[in-house]
Amino acid sequence: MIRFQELRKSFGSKNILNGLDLEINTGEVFFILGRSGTGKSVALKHLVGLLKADSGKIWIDDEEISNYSEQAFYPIRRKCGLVFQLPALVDSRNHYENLVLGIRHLPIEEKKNKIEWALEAVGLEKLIPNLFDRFPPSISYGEQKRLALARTLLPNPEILLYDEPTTGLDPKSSVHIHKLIRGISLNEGKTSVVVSHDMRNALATADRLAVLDAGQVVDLGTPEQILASKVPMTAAFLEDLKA
Amino acid sequence: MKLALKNFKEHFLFFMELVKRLPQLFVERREFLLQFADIGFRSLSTTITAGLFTGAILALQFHLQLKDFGAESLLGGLNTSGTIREVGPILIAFMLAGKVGAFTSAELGTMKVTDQIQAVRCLGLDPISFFVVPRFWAVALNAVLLLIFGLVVSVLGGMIAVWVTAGIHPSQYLLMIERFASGPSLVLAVSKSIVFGFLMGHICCANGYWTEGGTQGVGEAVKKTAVQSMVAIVLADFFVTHLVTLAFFIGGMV
Repeated sequence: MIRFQELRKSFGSKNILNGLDLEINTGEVFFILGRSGTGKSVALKHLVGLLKADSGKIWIDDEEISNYSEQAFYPIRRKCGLVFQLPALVDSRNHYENLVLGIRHLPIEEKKNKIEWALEAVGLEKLIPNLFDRFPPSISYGEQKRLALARTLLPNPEILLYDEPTTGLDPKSSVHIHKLIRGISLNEGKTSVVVSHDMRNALATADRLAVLDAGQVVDLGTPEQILASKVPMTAAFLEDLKA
Repeated sequence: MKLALKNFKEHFLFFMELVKRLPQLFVERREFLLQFADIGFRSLSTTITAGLFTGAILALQFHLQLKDFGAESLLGGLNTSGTIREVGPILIAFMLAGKVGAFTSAELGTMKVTDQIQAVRCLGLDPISFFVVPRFWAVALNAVLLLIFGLVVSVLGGMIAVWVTAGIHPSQYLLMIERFASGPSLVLAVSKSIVFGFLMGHICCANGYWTEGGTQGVGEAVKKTAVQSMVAIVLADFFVTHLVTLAFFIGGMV
């Protein structure tokens, strides 16, 4: 379970989160939607300690993490894997070295088995010849994104956080990534929190969705409830969908 | 002044972080060796060019002055002393700061703005140990070795320049080197190489790691590295010269 309570965050004079209250259940695929600058990614980054809240509280499985130090966040980061908007693969390292970053402590054989499993989970296992020896710029953007997802899966986090995972991808790849998110969540029993602009895929993938505006939740519900919602921000999103 | 002090404090604290993480160099030894080889290989041509021409230019200038007094026999000694004590370290350090320093800042800055550093952090690794420590030591140690190598090349450059342009034979040129460029000159040259090398390594890594705000931020980091490196090298040059001379003066060697 993830819980934000009255979370506030400003950058200079700009208030991004204005008392965010949100609860995400264990095992569900949860989408956070909203226009740019409404604080979706900012909220996500608080969960892994990349940002510190001005006030408010955050819980992960009954553990209050709001005031954790950098050191205290290490076990939390093992629990919560974050997939960034950009693939964020280390350019100077080959794919194998990128994949093992989070599992360096494991024996080689175990690493190999885990990598095999992760690549299969993201559908990359037989797609690229000599995948391990190649470097990130040598594969397509979509493949880099999938590799980044595999890297995040490898330490076996209980919670997967996706920060706009389909940005820069073509519609077909977007659908594939969303299916992947759903599949991983169901097959591996993981909680998935996805920040997105993509209402169409969100409705098809999510168990529940929240719509954010000005750093607050303005709408929350299952895809069916969201489709029937009269909240102006949600209605505007749905209107875009029809267009 | 307040801003300068704040900057200095931030740099000092970052340097302490790097020193504190020295044992991590063993963990990241592969990255260190790769960076060390890469930086060394990439900077060799710059060092040779800078060294050769620094020595050559100074030799031609000294030759113009000395020949009026019929003191050309002193050329090798004076030129070598002047080059390795002062002009050589500073010019070669400027060139290395422009090449290695700027490259490392841009590399780390790009890693920062493309979330590579944050991603590594999220995978439970310490980004300073993982990215910065191997680069800092690779740049610093390379810069020290390249500066010393560049100074040796600068002696060669001076010797070739006066042989070709003024017909002074290398044996005549080398004859006076030992007399003019002895202990204090060598200690000064090596001290400056060490200080400049570590300054360069620190400044480029700190600015690269602190990059904020997209590609513009990367440009800003590279600019800061270039400016801060040059200012720091000039200031350090003054203090190292003063301290080493003072040490030899106290020791009765100058």
